[in-house]
Amino acid sequence: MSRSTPNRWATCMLGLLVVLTMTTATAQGQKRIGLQTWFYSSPINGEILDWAIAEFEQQHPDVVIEPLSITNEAYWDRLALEIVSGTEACIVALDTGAGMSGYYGLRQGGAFIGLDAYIDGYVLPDGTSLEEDILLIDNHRIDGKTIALPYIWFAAPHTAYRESHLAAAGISPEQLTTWEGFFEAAQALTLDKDGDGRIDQYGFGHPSYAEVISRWWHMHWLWTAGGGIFPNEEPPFTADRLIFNSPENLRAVEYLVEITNAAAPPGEKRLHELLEMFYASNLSMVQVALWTVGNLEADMRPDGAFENDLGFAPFPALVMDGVRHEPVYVAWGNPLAISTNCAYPDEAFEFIAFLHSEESQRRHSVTRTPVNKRVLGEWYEENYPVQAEFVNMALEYEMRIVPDMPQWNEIDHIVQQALNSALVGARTPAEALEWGQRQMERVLAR
Amino acid sequence: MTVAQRLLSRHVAYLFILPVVLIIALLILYPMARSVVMSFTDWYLLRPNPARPFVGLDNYRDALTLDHFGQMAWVTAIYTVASVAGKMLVGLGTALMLNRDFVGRSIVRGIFIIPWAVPTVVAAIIFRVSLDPTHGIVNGTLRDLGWIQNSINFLSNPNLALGSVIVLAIWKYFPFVTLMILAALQSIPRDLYEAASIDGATAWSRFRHVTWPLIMPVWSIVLVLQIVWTIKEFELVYLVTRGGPSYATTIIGVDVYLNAFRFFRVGTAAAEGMILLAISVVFAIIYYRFLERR
Repeated sequence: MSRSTPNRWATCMLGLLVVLTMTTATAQGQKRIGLQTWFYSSPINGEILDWAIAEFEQQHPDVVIEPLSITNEAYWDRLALEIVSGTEACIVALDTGAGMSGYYGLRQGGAFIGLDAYIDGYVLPDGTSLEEDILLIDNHRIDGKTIALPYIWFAAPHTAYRESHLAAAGISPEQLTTWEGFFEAAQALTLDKDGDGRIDQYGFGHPSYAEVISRWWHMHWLWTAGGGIFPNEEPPFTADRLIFNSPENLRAVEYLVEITNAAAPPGEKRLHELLEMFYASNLSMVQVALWTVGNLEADMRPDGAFENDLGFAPFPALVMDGVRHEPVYVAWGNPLAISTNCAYPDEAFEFIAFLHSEESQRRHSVTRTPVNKRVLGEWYEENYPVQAEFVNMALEYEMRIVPDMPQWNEIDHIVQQALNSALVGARTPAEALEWGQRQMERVLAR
Repeated sequence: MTVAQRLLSRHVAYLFILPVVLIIALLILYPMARSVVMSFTDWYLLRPNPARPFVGLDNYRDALTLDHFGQMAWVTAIYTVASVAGKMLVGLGTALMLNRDFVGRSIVRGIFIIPWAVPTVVAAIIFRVSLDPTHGIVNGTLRDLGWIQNSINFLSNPNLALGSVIVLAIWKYFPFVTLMILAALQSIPRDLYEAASIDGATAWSRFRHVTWPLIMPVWSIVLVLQIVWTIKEFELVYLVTRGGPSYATTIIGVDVYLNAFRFFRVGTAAAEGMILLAISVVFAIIYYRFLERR
């Protein structure tokens, strides 16, 4: 070995040490904040978040926001596992209709920090006051503290219909605003147009099984009929207050079974299958949430159908024994919470607050309803007229959120199973609701 | 060799197998032991209690007293028996066919592997779309042939859903059986068939007295593997029907998933897993008793 070899080794080691020191120093200088949402996996929403992250990092050079791309299907199982394992990201997205309390309760003392001290008096540079200008801010309180900040929200459902189908059948959109008229219209719109003995246009579609999203498809029927899971879905959520087997729910489920048998495509349809039939003009009416508007615009066929052949009617009211029961809508939000394991909660909150700025909320309006009231008004109506019309129509009626209870996933599953069994004919509506009531009692007793 | 050398050489042998033992212990034995412990403790994630108190057989009672447990056990049994029988018979038949000489044999062999190679999620989607009553190719073909007037709700009719899923399971997994049996068939010396033919054996006799005894060990091992794999099936059924309609296709594996990941009842899920394990062990014991008797 030559004498210069040890020197070379020493030089290499010194160089490596310098590089390591610099890297460590850089890493130590940066505050890395994980952002766990399912939005990022969608191309449109991913782009919007990329913009928000770039803007925020420019304003906060010491902070790096690291979004995780997780699909909606995988999100909730993974979130539960990560909270239990203590490995969830610093910022996590929740859903007011997907058992927010359940995820909060997965860690002793709560999985998310209280945000009240941050929110109090917080005003963004554009003048947005978190306390005064953000919708639904009071819907995210658990254990007496605000555990998440709403960031976007949705309302459902309106009836989306094909104007040309209604016109051809001589049906006016006003007819769709009561359960009776809606039923008659759905029947009249179910047609064998080419006379080959097969139905090729269905009047109505209802997903008979839609795990985790009973709120989009079933709850408003039960609520409008005067039923639900608990009276007005208000706490306390105890077994003795369950009303799942009530006559009101029975009325709603019987109606759903009748209309499904009379006018819906056969078989167990999932949401995307129904929407595809609507896009292709094989389905005349389908119930939609606000986020569907973007899909309708992109996928309705033929070209121009979105502009010329799409109409919205409010969810129908139930007129029974001469009494009109106005529709009850379902509302839900996707708030952001900060994990109790987050190393940089102050910076994480700064980012969440930034997402509520007017500019950020405007960009998010492409697919969602903004929660910033300063954006939701005139600007929204000018730039997103269809979405604004949709939201304004929903705001005329009562909007409810499904019960936020730790056992929500189980209760939701029971609602799905009960209605599914009635819709596919495995149980009568009365048997299905009675079964559901028993199952819910069992869950709440455990 | 001295005693010391013999001991040393034995220790060296142990050292060689140590990594494998460690890996098995870490990846199989430890999780299994943990599952057993979990099934006897209060592992309800919505009651976060780091102490995880011992609850005896409560989780087993919870699982066994579920309203739908009886139906679930029955569905699991039917699904396992029918789909394993189907896979074994179809696999045997295709292996015998593919063992014959014909033009394009290697291409046909490749084609037969496709269902097994297709990702489960893709197979499930293709199957759902094909059986759709409105726009599925199966109903369309049956209608065009004039065999049916109204569409058949294969997946939403509680009486048909399980059978439909079993057909998919057979289609998806029989190529594995084919491959294994084909490998066994190819190891049978041609001389035996020639000798049997000279003795005037018919095709059936050749199968019964030459082929079957020689492929039987492989067939039996594949059978046990198929039972154990099928009894704990989850993804195929969940992707196609999610256990519906009305629990008609809810096998125990689906309920384990729901309890563990959706309802956070890990203890109950672990108990259900142990019940599945016990059933698998019963099958294994029956199989080994059968082998011993032979």
